[in-house]
Amino acid sequence: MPPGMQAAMQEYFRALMQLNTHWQDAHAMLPKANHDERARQDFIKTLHNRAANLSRVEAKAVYEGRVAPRFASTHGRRPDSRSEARLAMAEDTFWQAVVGLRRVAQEMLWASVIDTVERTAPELNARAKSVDRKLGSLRVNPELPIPGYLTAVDIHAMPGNYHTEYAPEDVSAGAIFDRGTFLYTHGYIGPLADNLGKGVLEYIRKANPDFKPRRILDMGCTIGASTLPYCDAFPDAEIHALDLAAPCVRYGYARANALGKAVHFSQQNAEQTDYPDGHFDLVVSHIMLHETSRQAIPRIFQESHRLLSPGGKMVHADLPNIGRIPDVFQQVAVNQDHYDNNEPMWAGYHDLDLPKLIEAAGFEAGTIRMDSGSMIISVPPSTASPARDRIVRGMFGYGVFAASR
Amino acid sequence: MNGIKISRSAKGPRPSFFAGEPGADQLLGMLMAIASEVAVLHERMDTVEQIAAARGISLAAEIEAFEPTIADRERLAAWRQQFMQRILQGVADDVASIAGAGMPPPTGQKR
Repeated sequence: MPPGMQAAMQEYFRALMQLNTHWQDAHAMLPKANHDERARQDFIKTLHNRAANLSRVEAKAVYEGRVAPRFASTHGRRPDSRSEARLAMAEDTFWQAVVGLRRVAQEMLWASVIDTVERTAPELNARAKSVDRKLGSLRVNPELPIPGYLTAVDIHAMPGNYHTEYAPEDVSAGAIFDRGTFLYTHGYIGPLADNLGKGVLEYIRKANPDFKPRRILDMGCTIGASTLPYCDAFPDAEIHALDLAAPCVRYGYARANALGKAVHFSQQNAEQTDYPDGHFDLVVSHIMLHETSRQAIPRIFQESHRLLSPGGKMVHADLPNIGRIPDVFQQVAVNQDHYDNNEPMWAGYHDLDLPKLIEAAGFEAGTIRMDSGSMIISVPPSTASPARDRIVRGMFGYGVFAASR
Repeated sequence: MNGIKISRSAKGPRPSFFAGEPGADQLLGMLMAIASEVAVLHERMDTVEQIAAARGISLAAEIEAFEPTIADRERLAAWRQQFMQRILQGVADDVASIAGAGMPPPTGQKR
């Protein structure tokens, strides 16, 4: 490992080891927790983080020290695939307790946020309408069919999923998602939950320093947390964002206005949109693909191709490229969400030949890239170092699939 | 505008992690819910003490002398009822998953 990279990795892990003081930046749309709700949410942020680390760090030691040797004593070799390693882990009492805890923490996380949103929903829905709606636009389509991959199970075990509405012109699911995602990422995603968007932007600008897109589309934007950094990065561009879930785009539109950003939100399906051919110079998505389906992904690539102008770029950032992780246990750890977090597509996503699907969608083979983006995390503020805008970059992050028209 | 009700249960089969010990998954849920409430109480007490101390009040003696009224008892009983509901969510989900068990279905539209 080059010395510069080693120093960066040390900085990254030092940030993760620091006391987690992260708190979310308030904006006009963020649900306002009362004292006990906030204390409960803070506790869950800690519990959820601990459970995640147990399943990656301590569980690795259990795998090496107990599970792999036990497997070797009966099979004469160590597990040589992630499915073998996972089944061996599933019999271990430590792993059972840890993955059980991950699930419980996830359920408690949503319940703790729902307490606030349910209590304040009338006020939240009123605020979504009264916030100064000058910037961007909002289009909602009540006739839009919600595909089976959103109605079959509640993804991430978030009750009601992205799309359930509890009142007319409801924003509740968007509010649950905003607060929940912050806790879910233990605050490392940043005070405005925009580090993923910033990371993908860094990837795009590094690969194309002179790229100046005139129109940008963010597919599967939910509440637009990853969309907003594009407004700052490309101030002259028109920014569009779509999602299947009406409560999320409604909330996202009000949130963007509350934060002074102009985004054109629209309730649409990324597989088939109503924008004209060649309308965008850049089409992006942030951890959307793995929550769709085998049928949807090729259509999303085809639609991206149709929407791009000549020279336009498509960048879909999603799960880490699991085949590139050399350690079989780390593959098990990355894949665990499939088994404990209502992620029906997660494990199958890794088996798809995405470059082949991208080529079949019409992109030139020579322009297709499969890369890794470095994960940006926020450094927790401390009394010694109270700044809230410090970020560090980890070596392994999301997988990127990119192509040019 | 009227208030809303949001289910605390996610759609989809709930995975079980303790091989041959399905009750252990529920126990873990109860244990962590209690731990969460202990943390909340601890933080509230700490907040109260800091606010009082800033105003020159020592709370320990006043707490010892405190006599709850009927209204206090009602408020606390309602809190305890809600507290138990939170702890027993896993058990309630298990019962709700049995057809005809007489539990109300999760609320929410367009599921």
